[in-house]
Amino acid sequence: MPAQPDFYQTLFDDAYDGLLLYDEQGRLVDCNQTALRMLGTTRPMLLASGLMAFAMPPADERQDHWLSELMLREAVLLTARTGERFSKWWHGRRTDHVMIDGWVTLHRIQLPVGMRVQLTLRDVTKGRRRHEAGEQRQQADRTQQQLRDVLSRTDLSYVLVNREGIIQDVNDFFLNFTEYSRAELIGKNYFDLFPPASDQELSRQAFLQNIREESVADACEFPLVTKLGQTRLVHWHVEFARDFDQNVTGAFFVGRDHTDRLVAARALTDNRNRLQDFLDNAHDLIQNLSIDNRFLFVNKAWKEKLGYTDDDLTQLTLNEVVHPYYKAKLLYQLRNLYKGEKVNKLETVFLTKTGKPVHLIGSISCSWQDNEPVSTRAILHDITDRIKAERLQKVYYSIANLAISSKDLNSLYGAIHRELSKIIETNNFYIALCDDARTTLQFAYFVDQNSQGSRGMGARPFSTGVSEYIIQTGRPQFLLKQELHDLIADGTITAFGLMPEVMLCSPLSIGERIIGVIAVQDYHKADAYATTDIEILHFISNQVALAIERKRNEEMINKQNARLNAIFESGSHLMWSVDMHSRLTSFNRNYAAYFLRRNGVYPALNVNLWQADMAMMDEEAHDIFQENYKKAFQGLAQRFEVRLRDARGQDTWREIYLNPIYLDDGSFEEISGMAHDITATKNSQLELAAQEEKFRAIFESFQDIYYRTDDQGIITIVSPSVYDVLGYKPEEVLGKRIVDYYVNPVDRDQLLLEVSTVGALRNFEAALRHKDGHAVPLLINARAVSGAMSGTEGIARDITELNQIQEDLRGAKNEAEAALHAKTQFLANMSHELRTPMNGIIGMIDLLHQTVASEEQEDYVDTLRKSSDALLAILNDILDLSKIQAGKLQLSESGIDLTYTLDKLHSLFSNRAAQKDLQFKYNVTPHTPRFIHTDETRLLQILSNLTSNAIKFTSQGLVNIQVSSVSTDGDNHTLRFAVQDSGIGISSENEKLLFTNFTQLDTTPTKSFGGTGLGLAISKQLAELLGGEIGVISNEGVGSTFWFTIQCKVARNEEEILQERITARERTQEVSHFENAPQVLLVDDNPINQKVAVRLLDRLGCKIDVASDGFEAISKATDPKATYDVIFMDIQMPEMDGVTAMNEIRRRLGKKTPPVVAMTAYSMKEDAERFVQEGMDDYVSKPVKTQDLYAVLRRWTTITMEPAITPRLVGVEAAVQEPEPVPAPAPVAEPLPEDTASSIDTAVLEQLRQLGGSEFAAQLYEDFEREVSQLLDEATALVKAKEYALILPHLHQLKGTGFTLGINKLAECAKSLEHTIKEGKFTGIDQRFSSLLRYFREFVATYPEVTQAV
Amino acid sequence: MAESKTILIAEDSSVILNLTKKILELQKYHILSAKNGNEVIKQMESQSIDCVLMDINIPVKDGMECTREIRRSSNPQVAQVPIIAITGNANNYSMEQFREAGITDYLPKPLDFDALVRVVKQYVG
Repeated sequence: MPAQPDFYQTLFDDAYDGLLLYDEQGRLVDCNQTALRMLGTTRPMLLASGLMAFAMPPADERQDHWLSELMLREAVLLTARTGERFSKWWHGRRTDHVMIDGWVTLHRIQLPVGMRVQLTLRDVTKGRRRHEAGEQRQQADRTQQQLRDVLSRTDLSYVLVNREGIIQDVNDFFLNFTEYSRAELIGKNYFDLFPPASDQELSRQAFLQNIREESVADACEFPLVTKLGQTRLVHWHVEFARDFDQNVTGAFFVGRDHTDRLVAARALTDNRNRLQDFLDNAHDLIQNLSIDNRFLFVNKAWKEKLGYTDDDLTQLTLNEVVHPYYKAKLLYQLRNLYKGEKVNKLETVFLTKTGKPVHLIGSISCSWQDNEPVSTRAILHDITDRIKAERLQKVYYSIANLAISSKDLNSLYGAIHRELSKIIETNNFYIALCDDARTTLQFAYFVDQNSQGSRGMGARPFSTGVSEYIIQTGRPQFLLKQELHDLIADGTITAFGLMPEVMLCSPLSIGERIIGVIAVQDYHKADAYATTDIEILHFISNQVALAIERKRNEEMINKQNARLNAIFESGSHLMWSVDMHSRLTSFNRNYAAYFLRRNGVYPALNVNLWQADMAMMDEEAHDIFQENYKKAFQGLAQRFEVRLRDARGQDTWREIYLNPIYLDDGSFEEISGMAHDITATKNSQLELAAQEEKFRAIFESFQDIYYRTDDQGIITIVSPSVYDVLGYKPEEVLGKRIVDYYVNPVDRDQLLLEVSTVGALRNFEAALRHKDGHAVPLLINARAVSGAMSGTEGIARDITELNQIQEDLRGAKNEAEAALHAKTQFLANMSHELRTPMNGIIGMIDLLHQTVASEEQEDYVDTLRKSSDALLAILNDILDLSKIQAGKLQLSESGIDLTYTLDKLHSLFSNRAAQKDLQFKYNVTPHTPRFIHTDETRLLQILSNLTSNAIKFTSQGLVNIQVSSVSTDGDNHTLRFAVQDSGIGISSENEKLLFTNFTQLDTTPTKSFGGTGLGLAISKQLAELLGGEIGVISNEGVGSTFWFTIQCKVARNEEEILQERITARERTQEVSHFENAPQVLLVDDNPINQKVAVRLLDRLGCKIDVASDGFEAISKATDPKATYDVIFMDIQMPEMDGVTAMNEIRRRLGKKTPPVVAMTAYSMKEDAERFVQEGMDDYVSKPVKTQDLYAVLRRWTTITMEPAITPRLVGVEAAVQEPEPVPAPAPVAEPLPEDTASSIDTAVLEQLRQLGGSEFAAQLYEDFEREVSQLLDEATALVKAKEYALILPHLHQLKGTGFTLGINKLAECAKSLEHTIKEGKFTGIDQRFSSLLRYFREFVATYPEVTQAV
Repeated sequence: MAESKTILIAEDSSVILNLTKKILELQKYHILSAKNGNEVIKQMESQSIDCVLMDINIPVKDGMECTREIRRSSNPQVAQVPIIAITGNANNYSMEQFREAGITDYLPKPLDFDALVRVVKQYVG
């Protein structure tokens, strides 16, 4: 099975024992989690420091313990080398100071990475303790046994009793001594058996008291009665027996038979040397003092302890040795002794030769000679150390208490100083504290003999003084001057101030943390301190450190309290606390003030808030408070807002926080309350909310969609109207991508592009998908939103209806335009229709005039002609105006001779003026150019109108025409023409009406002046066309001057103009008869026109054939026998127009085609040019006139002419009045090429005809009609059912077949409709389908005529 | 010229049918017609046909289906007949799809007469 690293790692980490791995070099390389857990440390820390860093080896350096890193390391290396195992106790401390006992075993293991030594650390803390206890007990037993044995061998008695005095154990010597057997003694009370009867109860009580008080004189003499009744004096040493826990279980007595000793003493007295020897070997101080307090004898221990020599002793008295404090007491005791009283215990203090106190305790007895005291003997035990330890203990405790009792840090330092002086010399004493970062050292307390009066030395930067040295090493030091010098010499420390002889300095540490040092020093005596004093200093330093720390904390707490209190009372917040019993436990002034305001009284501590305050609240506030307090007491912090009414009825809003006041153990007993006035905020908030409510209502009632998207195009806000427009609830689309709703996602891209480049866009049209699938056209205004919620926002409006309305409007507009068009067409038709009979009338009158027989007839004919001329003039006026209004009138400018033009005008009207006996003249001012560039026809038209009016409205006097140049700019002139009359004049009101359409000033039924009323309106328009204006100056009853201006250029081709005029005159005058009778084919569908033209041509000597339509024309023209010189072709003919016929003839005859001359009412120049471009050779305008026909014939035939005849021609007047007829668009029914394009493409039709003949073609269209009718019937039903998608096949077929047959409009419509439906857009389909139907009806109405067989 | 070739026109629009027929008759082809898919199959089975002009959108069985059926015919003469689709391609078939169905070539609508004659001549001669 392959090794699974994780598995073994887990085993390793979860092992019960702590495991540490060392490599062959003894380096700690790894450890498991258990080890870390046991030591309470981290892997890096353990690996860096090693196991022994946590060790606390026992002080007695027992060899069954791991004692040092070195020891462990050597063992590890040995194990690594030899594989030998080592196991020892390990005693240590976790980082959290919990002690651990461990059993540490080393053994060698082989790992893939190499050989390792595994250290197993087994936590045996509890087991160890038990083990040790047992061991100690055993040891105690063993000790006791040994003690008994030893004592027996040294002839000492041993008795162990319990607390009641019951004998537990005795040694054999005691049994011999007292003559009892062991069984007789064990379990018996010592005091029942041994003390003499007189002493029995006293001894028992003394013992019991000693046991209770745990105090005992450790040595005493008392008598003992043996079994056989002998009284023995025994000197006893008494010690308490204690159990493992140091409880006194009883006492044991070790005694020597003093009876024998006295004997021995006596013997010794005899032998001084032996005595001396004995005494000298004693540890206790033994002295023999004379009655006058001189030392008769002291033993060696005495001399050594107190430092006196034998020489000193000769001079020495007790007075010098005893400590002055204790002298009186000692002397008193001695006196008592001399009086014969017994002194049980002597306790005193001697001074050494150097003056150090030595505490002594012991017994003293007096020697008597002859009932006189001669000397005293004392055996004294040195208890200085004990006393010192006791004092130390006391000082230790009092320092601990000082932290509590001293009022501040300074008094604490002083008190520490005082306490310390009780145990060691403190003439020079200081406490120096450092901060944690060790940047400064502050001498918090400083008493020095060399700097009297200053208690502190202030602070200095943390540097390299002794104090710093101690702080850094963390070890207490006893330093003599020489040692200080050495440290200075090797650079470890720097000297500050005077060098003491001796210095004791200990770190002040709290746990691991060192906060400073405490030091004492002496400048004079190197032996001012014992080396052990450093231990004393170190011992109390911990307590000092704690006391200082405690005091410092206390001060900090006080400061903190002050701060908190300041906070508590500052500002405008109300603060209070309440306990579990609803009692007010604290409050600040603000709270009190508000309480007063609300409840009329000041709050008191421990008042029940429920009753005192909350009960006064209105119900709502009360409930809120109760609820929140309840929750707060469940441990949940609360924040709420509440409206409170104070005593004056004023409402305020408070924001209230209720928090459990947690104690260190996580429990709480009180709730803190804090409130502040949020009335202003709240009111504005409420206002805002109301405002928001309002806007929300607006937002929700929005009919348009308001939306917002983020940068990713995700919808973040959308108004509820999205449901009405698109069928989605807002929550259905929020968070979705907006682009998914676009019918055409490209629209969204375009919108974004526009928004990103311009920042906003308006009236963007796009279709979005309704939830039920159909597309909804929307008009979108959108703009970029920046800031935290960047993206796009916009408003989208459903324009389905709007589109509908627009569609309707468009329809209406189209209809209106169609109507207008119809009107225009009507007028144009009228032109054609009216002109044709007029042509006949005028032509016939012309002919009639030539055949007139009598004067009377002549007169009739003249009247006829005038009437027809007038009628034609009226007709022309109407047509002119409509043409001008349609913007179709174009000027035909050429160079003219102004004089000649005026002559023409004059000759036109001179007769009429003469008839009314009016003076009629014209004059031209000298600087007016004679030859100018303008449209002569139009100029004459205006002049004729004005002159005609002038003559009409003037009954007597004159009509005068004045021509002048009013401004010049090089060749450009503004010419002014004024027609002045002496007529009836016009009122100023009427002047305004003059130039408007169809206005006649006299509208009475019996009006005396005829006319259409269009003359001036036309003149005005024409004047404007010629670049000028028109106006009138009039005095009613006196006369009027009508004037107008034109812009013109000077013409430079004077010769040409003159020549042209001459030619024209000749042309008009010389109409010849053709000698050799040109063969002419006249094509005209209108019999009247035929007749006129035939007669005119006949009179010119032509041989005429007539064709009544295009087809006839073709057949006649292409007849092999035909030899026409010219074909006169009417353009507008039913069935086949002139151009088509011409083309066909040309196609058939090719170069043999005679000249074809168009006859047309399309007399405008551009029309004429168009016909020529279409293949006509020339044209004459209708109504045809003799001289035009003559001119054309002369131009196109090479025939010699007869001498001129002089027919009675339509004169110059007629020529002037001859209007330029409006180009007449063909009537709807007339199959003109451009019109048929609207339903059938004739090219396609022609192709079909060529393919299969006319009938075949016609049949195709009939089939189409039938087939499509059926298709559209089906489709109509589907459209009604809104099943748009289902009409796609119909449209498809319609499209294909329609285009094939050239029914382009219909096919186009089907195609685009098909496209739209395919895209899923269903708006406006109904309308467009209607259009389709209309196109079809149009087709049906027109196709038979178009497709009819020729 | 030997016996004239027979062409089957499958077209439900009589307009297009007549027109196509006329054009091809002028080219001296013998023309049969079918107005729906079933008629196409019937005609194919009963007569010898040299080419099929197939409108895709014919009722009952559309042009694609008819083509597939013709191609599956056990009679190799039938199965190999050239089939020219005539379509406005309302369904946006790709040339691949036409080929897959077995269509030999196709003519778009509106019909170009010259192209019609040219293509038919190409496959029938």
